[in-house]
Amino acid sequence: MAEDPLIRVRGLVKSFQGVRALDGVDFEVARGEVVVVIGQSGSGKSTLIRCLNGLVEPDDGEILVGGTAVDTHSQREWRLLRQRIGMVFQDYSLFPHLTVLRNITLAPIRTGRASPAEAEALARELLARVLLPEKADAYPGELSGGQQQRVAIARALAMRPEVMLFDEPTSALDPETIQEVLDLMRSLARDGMTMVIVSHEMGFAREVADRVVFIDRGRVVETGPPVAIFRDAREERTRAFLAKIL
Amino acid sequence: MAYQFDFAYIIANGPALLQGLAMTVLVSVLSIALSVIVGVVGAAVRVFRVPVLSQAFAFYVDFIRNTPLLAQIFFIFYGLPSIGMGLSIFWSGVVALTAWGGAYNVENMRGGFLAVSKGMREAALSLGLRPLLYLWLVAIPLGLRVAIPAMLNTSVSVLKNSSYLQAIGFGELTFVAMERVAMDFRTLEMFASIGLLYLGLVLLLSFLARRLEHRLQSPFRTA
Repeated sequence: MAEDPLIRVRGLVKSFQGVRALDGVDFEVARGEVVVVIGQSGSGKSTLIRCLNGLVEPDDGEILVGGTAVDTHSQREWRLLRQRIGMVFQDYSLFPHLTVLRNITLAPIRTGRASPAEAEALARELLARVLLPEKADAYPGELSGGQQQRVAIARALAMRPEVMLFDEPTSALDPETIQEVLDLMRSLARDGMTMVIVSHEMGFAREVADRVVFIDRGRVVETGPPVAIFRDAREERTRAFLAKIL
Repeated sequence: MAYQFDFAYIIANGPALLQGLAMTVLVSVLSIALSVIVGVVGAAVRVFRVPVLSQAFAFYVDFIRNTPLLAQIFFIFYGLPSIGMGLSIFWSGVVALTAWGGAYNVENMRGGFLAVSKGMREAALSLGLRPLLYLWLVAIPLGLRVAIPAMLNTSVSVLKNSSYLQAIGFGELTFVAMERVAMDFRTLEMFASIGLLYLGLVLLLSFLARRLEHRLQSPFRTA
């Protein structure tokens, strides 16, 4: 019997003031898989990824993590799940009053995952991994956007998540720093991290994704390996979107 | 006829003035500290819309801000004993000034909390932190940074308003002056002296608040 997908979503519906952002989305992510979600602004892709860690509460539908249904109304349940699901935001959202090191050690210490010494050792290891070992004592405001985003990724990794969600991680960056963040994400993918990435970086999607999901008007229009989507999309809407963006 | 300003009179009354000053400092420091706590708690309750408590704090803020402080002091000192809640002069003063400053600080801190971006909350929650930890570790330090200038104004007012406590016989600076004036009629010397002492206290308080603000701002200066 095949292993349960790490995340499975069925019939997800979410409306904001009468507008359907998600209109019955089915979606799944296998362990170790890299899924890139593409689609126009307002297509529902950010809403989808935010539903996956409970930042948005769906109106209807099911979310299963590791085969277990999530009570999407229970903040307590989400809080525990979020310790297994890392999230990286478009605007990095580092805590500006804390040093880089404290940004990374905060959650592992405060959720009881690690002692302060363990958390600091792990944080320094992760800072080396994101190529910022010398920035431990810097404040976020002293870093470039790309560096801040790499710290944000390290902060999420410090909880040793089973899956990482990326909500347009390079959209707020200068062109010259986008690459350093994408390189880091590439190396995470190589190491087998399960990743769901909302992105406009089509080159990156083509190269790194195991599967691409195209969303339009709150529905999954088409999903498949990058080659299939980028070269031979079956759906007219997918082809129209790609023609515009590529 | 030229008025003879009598410095010797001030020096002779120095010990009494210093004692009044000490009482003013004591009641003010205590009330300012407590009113900051009331402000932070009240603002958190308001911003996070804690049912019942949020409405209670809204009513409290409106009530305090729309009634005279002197009436509030009399209510606490003369009114509460009728329902068995009598307090000493000192504690009546602390409660009155804390309630007054706290109401303003609820609004000051509420503004501070509202200035903290929604992204900070989402980042904290997405790391699996409890909402209360987000409040304590992120929202309060960031919100205070914004609220401190307004809180300083409120704190200065609490300090100055401590002079109302002379009306219930609390031996603070203004009370000492009134008492001396009643005996010696040296009004100019006395009121000039306490004026300068109040001024010194306010300047000191401003200096301390600027130091605190500077400290809280330090991570942001290079931003």
